Amino acid sequence: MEGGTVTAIVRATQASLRLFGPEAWLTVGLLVLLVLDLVWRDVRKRFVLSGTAFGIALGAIILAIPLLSHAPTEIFSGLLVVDPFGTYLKIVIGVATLLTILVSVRNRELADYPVGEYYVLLLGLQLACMLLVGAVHFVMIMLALEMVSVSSYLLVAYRKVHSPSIEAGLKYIVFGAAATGAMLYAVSWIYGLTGTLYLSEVARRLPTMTISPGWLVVMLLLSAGLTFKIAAVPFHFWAPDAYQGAATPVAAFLTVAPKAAGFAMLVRIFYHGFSIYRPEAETWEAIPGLGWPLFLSVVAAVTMTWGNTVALWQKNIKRMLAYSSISHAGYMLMAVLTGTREGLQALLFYVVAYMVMNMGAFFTVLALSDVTDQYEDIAAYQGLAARFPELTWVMAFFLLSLAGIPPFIGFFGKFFLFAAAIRGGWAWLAVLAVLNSVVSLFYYVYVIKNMVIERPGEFRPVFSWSPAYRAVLVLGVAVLVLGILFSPIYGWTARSSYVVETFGMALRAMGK
Amino acid sequence: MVDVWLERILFYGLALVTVGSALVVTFGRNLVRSAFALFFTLMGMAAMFVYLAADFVALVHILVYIGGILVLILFGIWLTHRVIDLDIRAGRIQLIPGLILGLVLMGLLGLTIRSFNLAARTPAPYRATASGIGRLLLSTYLLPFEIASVALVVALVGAIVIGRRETSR
Amino acid sequence: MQDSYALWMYLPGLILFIGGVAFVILNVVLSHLIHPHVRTHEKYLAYECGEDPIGGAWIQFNHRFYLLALAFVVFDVEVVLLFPWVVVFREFGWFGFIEVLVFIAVLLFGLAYAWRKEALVWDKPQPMYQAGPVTVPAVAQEVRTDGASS
Repeated sequence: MEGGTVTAIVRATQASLRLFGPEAWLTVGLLVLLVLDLVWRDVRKRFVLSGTAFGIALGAIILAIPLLSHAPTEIFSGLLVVDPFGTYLKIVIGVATLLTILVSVRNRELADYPVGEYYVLLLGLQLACMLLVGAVHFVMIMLALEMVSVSSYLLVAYRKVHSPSIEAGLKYIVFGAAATGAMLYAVSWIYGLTGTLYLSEVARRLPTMTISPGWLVVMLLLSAGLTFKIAAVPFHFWAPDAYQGAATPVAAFLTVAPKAAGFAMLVRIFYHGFSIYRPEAETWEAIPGLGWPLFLSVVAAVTMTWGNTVALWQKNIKRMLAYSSISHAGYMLMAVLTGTREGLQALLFYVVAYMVMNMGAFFTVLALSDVTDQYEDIAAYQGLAARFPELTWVMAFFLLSLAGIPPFIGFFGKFFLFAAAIRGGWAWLAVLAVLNSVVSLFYYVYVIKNMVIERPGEFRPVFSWSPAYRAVLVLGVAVLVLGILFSPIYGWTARSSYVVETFGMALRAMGK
Repeated sequence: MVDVWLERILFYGLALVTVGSALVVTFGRNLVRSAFALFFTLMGMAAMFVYLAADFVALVHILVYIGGILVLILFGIWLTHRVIDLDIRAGRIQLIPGLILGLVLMGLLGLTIRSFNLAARTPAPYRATASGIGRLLLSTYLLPFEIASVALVVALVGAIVIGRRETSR
Repeated sequence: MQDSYALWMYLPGLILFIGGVAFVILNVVLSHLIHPHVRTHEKYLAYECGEDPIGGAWIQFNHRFYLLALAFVVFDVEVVLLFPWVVVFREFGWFGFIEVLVFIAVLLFGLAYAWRKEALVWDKPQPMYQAGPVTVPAVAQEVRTDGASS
């Protein structure tokens, strides 16, 4: 290789780094935090490190905002793509991280465990999620996916003297290893058959090949890793244990950020890799013979039904929310499989709605954990309305929003999802989703009913403005206000869903 | 002609060792013996990579899997209290469903492999791959190369914090 | 033969492997065949003189082994990723050097962490006796002061 080629690589790397700001900042910040943890020996350590972590996460969001309107560009020789779709999700992941850091500061469940490593793992997970959102090459996807998984396992098992936490981490690892192994095997088949690992190249070469029935098995194996990450049936078994065993801030984060990244990965793989874009109709048409929309529709139907049915029997609020989040993954899958821009837009909207209401519900549990010991048992929620009227109100908001009751944001999220499904020709799925929403109302309302039942003889404890309390109130306002004034977010989603068709240009320019 | 046959005999011999030791790993009664049987499985797999003309991967396989991960597994077993005396085989109840599931999966994958027309592909020539990997790692795959170090640090930090005996410092 | 070769180039490696395995087996078998077989009770003890061993040979290891092995795997992977660079480092010059420097620098943070958090320090088994000032029984004290005064 002569000098000119190296110069070209240097130039390309410099150009790539300019659009890699948020991730590069996070990487540096993570290492700074690690050093700070090593040198700071002081009683204020917990607050200093939390503040630093907060600043790092905030910086990543600020750096990502200018990229929101950047035209889709491939960086690092086409391994990553920076486009409004990805940047939008990166900002959502960043906001989820910020909220999680905020409530972790004075969380009782984490108080006995080292603080520096916790934030290093959390920011590492954020970085991995952001990489996964932009990855359009199978090597990058697998690396980011593994990084997401490893930091998730470690965060779940972080409360290491709390045996449910360790058990949950172990289950998570075993499931994760199996799912990733299956996915890796599928990727090796895709590489062996198409001769490329670039998603856009896979999409370009597939139509010229004969699609043998074996591709169905390959798609099935590939979906193992994907359904694992978004906790969809049949790879959902880890979710209830992981969310219950993990500290509540971690559980809240895991239901949002890795899931958002997982859906981004799903869109990248199925839209960029296994579809043909039709610009006139703004749709991504599945390459014939692969059958992924049908397959995903079955997964979506089973996931939402299974999650809702099992959630009905839960006694533990974290388990109930875990099954509820499984069913929400089913709803969101519905948007992915339509292959329309409208579906993509509905997905982006729902991710924000889901973040606000689901994190809100988890954080309410968290705020309760600061003042009472029985915060996980739904039956123990009796009489909470008299003791914590504010918490009861916002919890009711979050749960009704999760159920899809107007005027909360969850209603509009579901409305867009169902509309996209119907217009994409998946009416039966939309009908099933509506029925599921009705069923879900039972277990959400059951919690509210429990909270407002009066239980005499309870004293009202000293009211404390813990960070979790504040975060919950902010989210409670957000779930209502964003529900009524949803149009700014909807506008963003409209701009951000306008993505994917210019993809693969840089690759072709490189002559690959 | 003779060397082709020798190559084949050697291949099937290695395959036998790999699969046989993998069976010992799975059905072994004693965890330590399973771990030692894993050595032969991994060694056989490294040999498979040599057959695939992937010399660097074979080397990595021996260095990382046998030199690192297998040792880690053994230490993991040895530091676990009383696990050595345990009969770790799964209950017999799971044997039949497991067998059926395994056979179905094997049949399905076998049909999949048959459905792809692989005979038409010519095998790649044997050549040293390390330099090619080096070139790719420093140019096209620069980002995964650097991110791998971040991933390793995150994994190291997490592993140490969970593996340490003290709860907090 | 410069950059392309057949599978049989690996033959020396295979012979070495087989030779290594055969050497072990051969020696065990050979020593079993030629050593004198004296079947007395003493011959079956671990030591003919000294203490009898207690318990099995498989004891619970110090957990430090595990942490060390863990750190080893991480740096093992690092070294493996450096190999391909070594082969081509002339072609990439300073740029390649900087890339690898960044790679190693990030991992050094991990090493610093492991060092500072004492994951690499060997914690010795706690001694059974009590450290610090020893309280001597009163009677013994009397005897000693008597001895000192006389």
